Amino acid sequence: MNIGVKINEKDINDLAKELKKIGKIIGSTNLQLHRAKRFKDYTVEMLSGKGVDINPISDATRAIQGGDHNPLYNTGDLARKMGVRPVKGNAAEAGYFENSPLIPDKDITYTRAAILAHTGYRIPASAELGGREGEKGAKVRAWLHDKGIHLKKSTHWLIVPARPFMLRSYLQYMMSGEDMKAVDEFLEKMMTAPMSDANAADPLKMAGEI
Amino acid sequence: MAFTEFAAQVFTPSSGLVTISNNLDTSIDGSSKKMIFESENESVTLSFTAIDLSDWEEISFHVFLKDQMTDGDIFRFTIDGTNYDFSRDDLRTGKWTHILLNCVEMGTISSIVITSLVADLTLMIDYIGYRRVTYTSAEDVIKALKDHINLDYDYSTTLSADVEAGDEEIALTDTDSEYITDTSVLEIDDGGSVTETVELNSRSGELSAAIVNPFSSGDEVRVLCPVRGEDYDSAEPDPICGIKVYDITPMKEDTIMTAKNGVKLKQYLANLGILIYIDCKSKTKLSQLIMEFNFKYGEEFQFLLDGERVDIYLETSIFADKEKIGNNPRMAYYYRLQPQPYLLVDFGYIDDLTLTVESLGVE
Repeated sequence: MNIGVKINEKDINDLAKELKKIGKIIGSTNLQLHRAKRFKDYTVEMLSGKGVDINPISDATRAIQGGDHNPLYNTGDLARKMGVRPVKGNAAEAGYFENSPLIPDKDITYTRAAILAHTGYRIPASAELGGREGEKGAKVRAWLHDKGIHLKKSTHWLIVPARPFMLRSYLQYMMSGEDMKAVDEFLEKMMTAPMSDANAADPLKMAGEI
Repeated sequence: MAFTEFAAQVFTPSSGLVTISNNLDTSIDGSSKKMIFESENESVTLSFTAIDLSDWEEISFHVFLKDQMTDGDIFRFTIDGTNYDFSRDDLRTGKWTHILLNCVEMGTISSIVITSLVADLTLMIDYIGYRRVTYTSAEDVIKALKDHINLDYDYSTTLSADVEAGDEEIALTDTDSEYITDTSVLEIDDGGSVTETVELNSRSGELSAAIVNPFSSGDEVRVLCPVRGEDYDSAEPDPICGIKVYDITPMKEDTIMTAKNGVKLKQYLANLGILIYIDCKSKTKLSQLIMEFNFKYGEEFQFLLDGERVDIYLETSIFADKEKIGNNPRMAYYYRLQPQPYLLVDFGYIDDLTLTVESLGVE
């Protein structure tokens, strides 16, 4: 018995083109930027809904700031200021970078605020610390006193606990399957787009359009 | 996890061809034994207070083997007449190996016989006891890490005047050192047998609580870098190594755990995010402490959590320098840890498998 096989050259060529396109999309910076942006959006959403359960603000902060609030919003909507950018090797990253602007009415940049939120820190609260810390501490103590918060003499520092919101959010983002969804979504969109879009001239814009 | 060491342990050699000593070479908790066997089939009997193991899951111990070239069995544990032979395949090279023996059906035991199966054997054993998996809390992890981490601030001065029990102030020789802060924790040492830890309320020498022991002028005063959990608040010392659980992500991840005499299906229930930070006014001292921390702990280290050495892995780290808001420089290490998995199914081993085939007729 003879079996005949007919090869449709056009179909083979089309398949090869599709595969080439998939390879190009998967290896593109745009895909990584899209994932980074989705992570940022996820973090903002989780923080807004308190899905990333970070330490609540202290009684002192609540009294100073007035009312209850997500601690990160106190510093100028920190999560929404997270950036995404391409890096070497067709990769991308989400986070807070150099040349960050100052938070309005604050003497600190968004990047510095994010670092301090992740590490925790201490604020001087006593003249007994001496030097510039003592001067600062005296001012902080007096300011709090005016607000009706009276620190004990032995309290030299206000301890602000760490709130590593990006690290918490990242694990939840990966475990939730959102990252896989982001990849699928990007592939689907790009497969129907012209080939040139997979490596668009403005990758940030491209990633944001998905 | 609940782990208990066998109580009242006594190691007895079978003859003069076996030497037993406290292990000074390497140990996990400092109580390990080193056994040198100079002949095959010599043994050591470990006796202890009798314990009914019916309600426990595993006998747990750690073994360190000096190099052996043999491919065959090297030593034997005999428990209530049952032998458990160990070869190189059961052990890690040049490291402590954690070994588990399923003990559910062992009943009450009061001794274990360790026998050399080779002519020349040096064997170290540590932390032998029994365990049962219970839920590990974040507090358990913090306590275990506090017990494990030790940093040397490496600065000392002396008392410049005698101090009596009940005094609330001490006088230090070096009153201007930048390495002593208003909230330093100090250890005073009389050079003999008395040491006492005190906390400063002020670098001028005011203490946060009255001193308990008398000390003399000239006695050494060391500045400590205490390791604290989340049980402090506004009185955080400087310097400090702080530990904080910042994330408990629930999960259910199955894993197979192999005991010498059985296989168990267990389940990881959580992924913990743990922040370990070093906060210190002196950047010079902070740099030194960071180097020490990186050397001793760094990207991955093991610590004893309820009788088991568990691995903890560094996710990332951040250095935050002194800022305009006035905080100390701080190094923050972010680790991930999965506490020991919880038992789902105890398979044991199949000793006999009988298949019965029945004919249903012939077509």
